[in-house]
Amino acid sequence: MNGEQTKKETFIDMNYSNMITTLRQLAIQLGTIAMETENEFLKVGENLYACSFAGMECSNHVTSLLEAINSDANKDQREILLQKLQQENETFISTISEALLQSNTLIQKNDLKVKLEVINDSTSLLIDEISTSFEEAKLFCNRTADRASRITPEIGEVVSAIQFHDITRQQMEHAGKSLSDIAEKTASLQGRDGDERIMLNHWISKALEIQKAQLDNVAKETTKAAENISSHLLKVSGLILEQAEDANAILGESGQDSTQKAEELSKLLSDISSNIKEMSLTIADTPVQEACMNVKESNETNNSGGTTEEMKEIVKNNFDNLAGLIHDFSRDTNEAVEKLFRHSGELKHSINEILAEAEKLNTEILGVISMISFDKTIKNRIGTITTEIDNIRFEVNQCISDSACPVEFTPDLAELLERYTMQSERQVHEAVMEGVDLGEIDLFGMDETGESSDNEAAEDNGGDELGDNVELF
Amino acid sequence: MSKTIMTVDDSASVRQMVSFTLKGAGYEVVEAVDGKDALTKLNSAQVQMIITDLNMPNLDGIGLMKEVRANPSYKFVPIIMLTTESQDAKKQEGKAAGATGWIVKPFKPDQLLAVVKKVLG
Repeated sequence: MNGEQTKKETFIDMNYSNMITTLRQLAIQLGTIAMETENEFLKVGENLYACSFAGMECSNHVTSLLEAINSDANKDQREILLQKLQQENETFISTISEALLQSNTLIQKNDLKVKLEVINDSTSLLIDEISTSFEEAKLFCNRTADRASRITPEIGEVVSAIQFHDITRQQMEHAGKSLSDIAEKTASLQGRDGDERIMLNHWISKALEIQKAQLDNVAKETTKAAENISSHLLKVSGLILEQAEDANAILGESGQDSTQKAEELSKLLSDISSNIKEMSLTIADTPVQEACMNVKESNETNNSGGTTEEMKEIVKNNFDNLAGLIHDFSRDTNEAVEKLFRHSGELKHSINEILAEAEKLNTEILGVISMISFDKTIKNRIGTITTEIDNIRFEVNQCISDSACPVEFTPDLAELLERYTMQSERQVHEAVMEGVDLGEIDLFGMDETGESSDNEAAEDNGGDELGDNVELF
Repeated sequence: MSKTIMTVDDSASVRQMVSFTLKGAGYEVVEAVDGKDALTKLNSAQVQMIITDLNMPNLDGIGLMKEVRANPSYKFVPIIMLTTESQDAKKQEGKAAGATGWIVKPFKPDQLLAVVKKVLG
């Protein structure tokens, strides 16, 4: 061994010494990244708890409201009330018309005709208003329930993406352990020479290339996980915003509308009531004697042949009958309006609660999204580590002579294969060994379809039914 | 009374997501950080199902399963492996040790709940 060769080997050994130190530091750093970022994943998870809970509350609220609106009891009660109102209106109108025909000239016919038309129209409006109000509430609840059902799968995607912390943590741990192994192999170089040394250099170079590829994959998967968490949370947020906008529209349009309609209906009821009262008073104020005279004249004209006493009795009965009808009609109309107002009040209260929950939930989600930074942390830290790995590999490659490596690498690199706990790691390893571009390989998990490819062929035992990644024995 | 399920995983985020999914569906959840911790907690808690990771420090999933199956109280309790591992050889090892089923991470909440419902009836 001449002096020049000794000098070169000392230089190389000194570089190896630096490499060993760096590799050990990188191994430690990889363990730290996983620990540091775990807290952030856990925070996202904690917030997901809160979001999901609030989302469920919101959804439950809407479901109960929908159930209440659609309940048979509610529907039956509403139908009965509407039918009763309709029937009583018809009976009232026809009875009063008949009574008027019989009493003929009791009061001014033209005035009564107008009032009867107003009552008829007002009652129809009231019936329409009750029906529309229920239909609007039903539509709102259906839309809200549909959106609530779309929130759950989005939260499921976030749950799935959060687990990528465990996946990437293992990958980083495995890479860290491999870097430690590489450091130890490098340390053993000092006692080797000749072919053995060349073999080790080749092993180190390939092993470093594999670790770099594994870590690049970690960075890629982490970015996808963060994108998935953000995009699915944004979808949840979007759905919640739509809920809020919808609720706002109902409250806004109907908020103004509701007050307006309430005022209109109140006026309507008052009109009906005053019309009825007015008519009743007009009828009551008509002198019986005059009425009987008129009836008599009318009967004489119509040649119906009744006595005055009989005619008086008919008119009296008609008044009594009308008084009863007015009372029943007024009572049922009041009941219908009261029910409608009460229902509108309850609906408004429920929608207000849903709106408040939705706004709170949306703020929380946007807060969660804004605090997601683990992808940048991991990407930056891994970027620094892989740059170091590249530098070390460059130096190692410089030490490798141009002569072909005299041995196969498989036995030693198989040790690395045994460390892997997931198919994607094995795929990356094999791709590097075979010189295949990693971009051509569909690695597990977060692809566009959401299907995991990090799984061997699905078995028939529940796999089809429960998903490709599930197997029941 | 709701059923109790034990989740065993050295990853806090996975335990959190399993608990989140199961608690949301009305189950009680007991968490253990590895196989050894699970065995300790099984002495004081009555569980109707175990969902465990495969690779863990102190005592791994296979070791845990062997210990659990040796305990007459838990001989027939369903045990689902929830792991990143998808190799058939590992699955067969798990099956031989007494696993009821195998889920490869990441899981979707509806998948996990479907498995739990199917296994617990």
